[in-house]
Amino acid sequence: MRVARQWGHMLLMAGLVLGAASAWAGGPRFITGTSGYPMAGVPMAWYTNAPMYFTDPGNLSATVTHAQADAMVAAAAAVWNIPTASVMVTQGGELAEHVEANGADVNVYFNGTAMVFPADVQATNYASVQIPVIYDSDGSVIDMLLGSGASGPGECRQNGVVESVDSFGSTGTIQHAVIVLDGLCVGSDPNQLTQMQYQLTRVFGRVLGLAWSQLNDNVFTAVPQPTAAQMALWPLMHPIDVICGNYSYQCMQGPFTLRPDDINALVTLYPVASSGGGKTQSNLNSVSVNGTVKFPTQQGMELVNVVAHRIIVGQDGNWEPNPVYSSTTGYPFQQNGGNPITGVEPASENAGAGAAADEGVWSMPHIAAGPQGAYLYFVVEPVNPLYVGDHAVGPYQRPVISMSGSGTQSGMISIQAGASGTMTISQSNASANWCQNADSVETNPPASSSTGWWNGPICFADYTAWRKTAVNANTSWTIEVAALNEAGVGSVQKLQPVIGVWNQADATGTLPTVASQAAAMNSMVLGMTQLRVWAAASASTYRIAIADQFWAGRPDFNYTARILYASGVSPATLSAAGGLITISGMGFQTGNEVLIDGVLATVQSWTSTQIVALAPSMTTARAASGTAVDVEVLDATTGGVTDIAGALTYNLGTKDVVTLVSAPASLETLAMAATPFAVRVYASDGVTPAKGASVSFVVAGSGGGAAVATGCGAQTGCVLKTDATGLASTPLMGIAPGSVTVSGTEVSGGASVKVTIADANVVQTVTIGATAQYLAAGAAGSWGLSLTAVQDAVVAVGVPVVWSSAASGFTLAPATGTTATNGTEAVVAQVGAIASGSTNVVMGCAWTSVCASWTVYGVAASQWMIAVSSGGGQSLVEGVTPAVVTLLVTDGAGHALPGATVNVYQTAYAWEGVCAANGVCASAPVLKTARSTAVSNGNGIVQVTPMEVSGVAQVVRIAAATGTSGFATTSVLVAP
Amino acid sequence: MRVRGWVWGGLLLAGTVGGGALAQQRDERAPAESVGAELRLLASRAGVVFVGQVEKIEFKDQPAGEPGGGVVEITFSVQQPVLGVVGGSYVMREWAGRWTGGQQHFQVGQRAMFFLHTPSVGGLSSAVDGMMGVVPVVPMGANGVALLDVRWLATRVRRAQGAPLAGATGTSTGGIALVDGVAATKAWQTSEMAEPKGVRLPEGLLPREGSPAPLQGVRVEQSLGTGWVKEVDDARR
Repeated sequence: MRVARQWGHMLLMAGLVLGAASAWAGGPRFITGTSGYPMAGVPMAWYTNAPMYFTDPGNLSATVTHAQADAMVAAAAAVWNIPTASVMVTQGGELAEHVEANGADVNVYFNGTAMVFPADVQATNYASVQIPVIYDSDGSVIDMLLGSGASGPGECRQNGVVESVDSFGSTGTIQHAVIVLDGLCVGSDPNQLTQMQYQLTRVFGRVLGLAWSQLNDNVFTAVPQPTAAQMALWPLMHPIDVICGNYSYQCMQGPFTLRPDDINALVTLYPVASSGGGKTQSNLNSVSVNGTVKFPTQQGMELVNVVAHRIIVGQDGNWEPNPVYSSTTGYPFQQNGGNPITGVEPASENAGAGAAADEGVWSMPHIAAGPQGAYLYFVVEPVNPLYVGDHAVGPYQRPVISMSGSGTQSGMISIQAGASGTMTISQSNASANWCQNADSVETNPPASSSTGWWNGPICFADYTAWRKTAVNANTSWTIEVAALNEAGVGSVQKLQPVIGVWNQADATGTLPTVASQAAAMNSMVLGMTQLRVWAAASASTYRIAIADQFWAGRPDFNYTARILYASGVSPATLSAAGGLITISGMGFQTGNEVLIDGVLATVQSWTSTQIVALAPSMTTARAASGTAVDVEVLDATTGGVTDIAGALTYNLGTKDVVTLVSAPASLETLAMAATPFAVRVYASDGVTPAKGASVSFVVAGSGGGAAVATGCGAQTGCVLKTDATGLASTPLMGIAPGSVTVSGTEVSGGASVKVTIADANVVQTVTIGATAQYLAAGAAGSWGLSLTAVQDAVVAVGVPVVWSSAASGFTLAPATGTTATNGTEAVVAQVGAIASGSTNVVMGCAWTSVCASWTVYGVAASQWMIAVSSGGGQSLVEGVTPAVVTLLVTDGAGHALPGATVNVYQTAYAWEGVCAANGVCASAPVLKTARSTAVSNGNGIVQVTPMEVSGVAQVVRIAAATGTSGFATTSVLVAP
Repeated sequence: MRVRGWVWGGLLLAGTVGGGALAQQRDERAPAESVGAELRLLASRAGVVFVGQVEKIEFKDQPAGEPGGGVVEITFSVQQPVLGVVGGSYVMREWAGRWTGGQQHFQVGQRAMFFLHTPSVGGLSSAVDGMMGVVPVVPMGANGVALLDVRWLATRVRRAQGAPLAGATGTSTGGIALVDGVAATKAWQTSEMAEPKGVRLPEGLLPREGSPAPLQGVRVEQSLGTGWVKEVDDARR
């Protein structure tokens, strides 16, 4: 078959289960609860398959007679009388009286405590009259029940037909319902009667126990545009009409035709077990499917809508383009399980069973299938958030929960006619959050987070999250729980948090003994529940519970909790001038305000556990000296408050007030701090400057630290007078590294401020760039030296420098100076005749004791060495001028040696040519001799110009001697 | 868009009204043409309008065997009177027949702009036009402008089959400023009134399909906390 090629089978038929409707029917309006019924979670149908209605004997209105009204009522009821449903709604007769709340024959009235109806209308008469239908010809009954004007034409769409199912049997059945038709809603326009018939048809559905149903909801929302086929499938029991004009019945196709979804719901409640008496066995040519929608954690997911797509086997083999049936999950599950904070749910809200297996249950027990059965697949979709309260798609009491995960499409199931199947749908991408066991036990809750903030889930039904926290006496605090959607945004479509507080020592299993917030979302922030706990006279540890108002729980129920609590203020006493205070606690956040006796303080910093604020003066705070005032932290965003009663006292007294104006953040040894230590003295009013007050400054070291107050003549303390502004100050200079405490005390009253400052050694260095020098003994020398002073990696400017030397014969000029802008100071060191073998040291010192040295050595003559550096061994021809011969004088270690006397001897010999290989070389005649003396320069160099005898080939021999043993020779050949 | 408070023309209810002068009255069955107009219609039918919060719900005097026979007292705190009421509290007594079978018309803590009928001679009342007369207030923080969630009101506005709900598209999705709603309500008798400007409701109210990576935690056995066990009506209320 075409279908088989399109799909792989996910599930085969799950066995033949003949058609008795399962215990779980789709779309029930009423569900039995845990109290008063033999079994909870059972959809409620009429106790009889033949509930009868009895009409009011009067006319419906001035223009609609009793007969016309009866015909209309019959037509509306007949819509629900179908062969495959066992129920038959028929007229049983008439009421004994025209029911009216106005006029001479009033028989409906309120007696001060309850509505009084005629006896045959009352619920206690259900055995005889199941459904009284009142013709409220003048609207007085409806006005009596709903308020003045409720019967007016403007409310006909809502109140034209009023119903109440007002009695249920102890076995979980519907016993009685009242229907009131508003005569003011029908007149001469036949559309009005048709409109009432349409509304009454839907009301009969409600009276029979059907819930509203969501299917092809785009017919209502028009997003996307609905097709004619979708309009044809839009259930008669849709929650809210489309209003296209005066008469909403004109806004839908076939307003008196049950859709398959309506029939499924009806047959679920009223199945036909076997054919006969005009009824057809319900499961003939139908299939039944039930299942569960689950989170990845395997927990059922309630309040999502499951819709079914179908192929009827034996028909054209194509999937029907639109879903045909629907069921909302979790309808048999507890709608309000009560919770530890509010206690057991009220009896009026007791509906559904607490079994976890019911939480994601859905059911479509009667899907028309044809003789050969059907192929089906299912899609999970979110419930329209507008379908709450009177428009709820089922017995739901809580706001619609936004769906977790994407709409999942199931695999295909094929089922034979008369059989049933099961489909479990695991919602893709849904939350897979698990609970921490640590906070689920009331007897041993964990402490709240030290920051006051924490996150958590309420991840399955009947789960309560517990915490404990300690709170000081006389302090109010606030707990806030913000429900989050899966994007972490505050939401009203997930958890509905409620909060309870007990003393930790109180018995468990009781209602909150200290405070509670039993209704969710009470704060001014969307999605947040807030509870302010008032101050207690003594410190205490509290037990806190967070739960869902309906005691539901799911993996997508997440929250952020916060305890806003101020635990203390330091200092607890301020001068009248005010000053900085530190508030400790938890749950703080940026932007929180601080109020001192109701007056805003200037907040300087926030962390989650500390706020630093500048408290206003006593005058500004409207406080009295010696009287404690409250300190409050306010979160203006949420309205959360924590308040410490009597946390702060302003002390005026008779003493002057001293406040700190400035102090250096740190000191450096032997360095003047840029910021002075300054205090200001006020009169006892905290406002008037005290001129001429005596302030005692004391500088005390600790741990090796020391400093002086240079305003005190570099002493460790003195008394100074304040100026006209009340100011007294002194610069500070560190003396030794370590901590230093500096105080300023107003002498007469003793008010004082003090600070502790760390003194650290400066890092000072002095360098002399010149390297050590060497000088031939007896020679005179002059050297320019430069000292560089650096402090903490920065050149030191203006630092005194002293040069000194103990070397004999040395002079230093200038001997003192001050470092320039580049940190340097220069000196010229001179000696007339350096001593032989001497080591002469020149010292340059900055900051008195930070020094560098330079050394010049006097080299003894015995150490003088001389060598030809260049120009030796020249070989020339006549007419070429020989190059200068360079001689280098060094000491024995190879250091260039200035100042050494060098004697140079030159002898020019006639060139005799190449000496014969054999025999004696001819002795060359001396042409000329010369003798000179030179002194090696600063680089130890002596230059010798070779002498010449012009016009003659010659060999000039040069010999140089220095010191006592330094000797070098070389020659210059001038060939012909 | 400026909307006329009174719609001319339309049908009358023969036999209930008559006379040439009344031929020009608004057809009371005609649906509103806008959310603002719907607010004014609610106000025209209400005896009491206020912005407030449900403080307490009490079932009173239910006759035996007739759960719908008694009344339900709903106590509201009136935070902002609009029509027909001063501040403080307001107690409405509603026919318990509307509360049977687990149906909840109001929830404790519910915050809304309430349009309530004038009490009947028996002292009973209800919200105008069913729960349409309960227009949820959306808190937007201490410094924010509170909104009215008018999505349900939008369902009462006339639209053609296949046309989307009023204000359902674009940037103005589902809300109006509370102050605008109150002003429109107070001025319900004015013949011309500017339509309140649509405002998008915050994300936490609008449906959001799909989910990001879920939070992870430590799996534990699903069991009730041992410290509190639900009892069947142990009178802990």
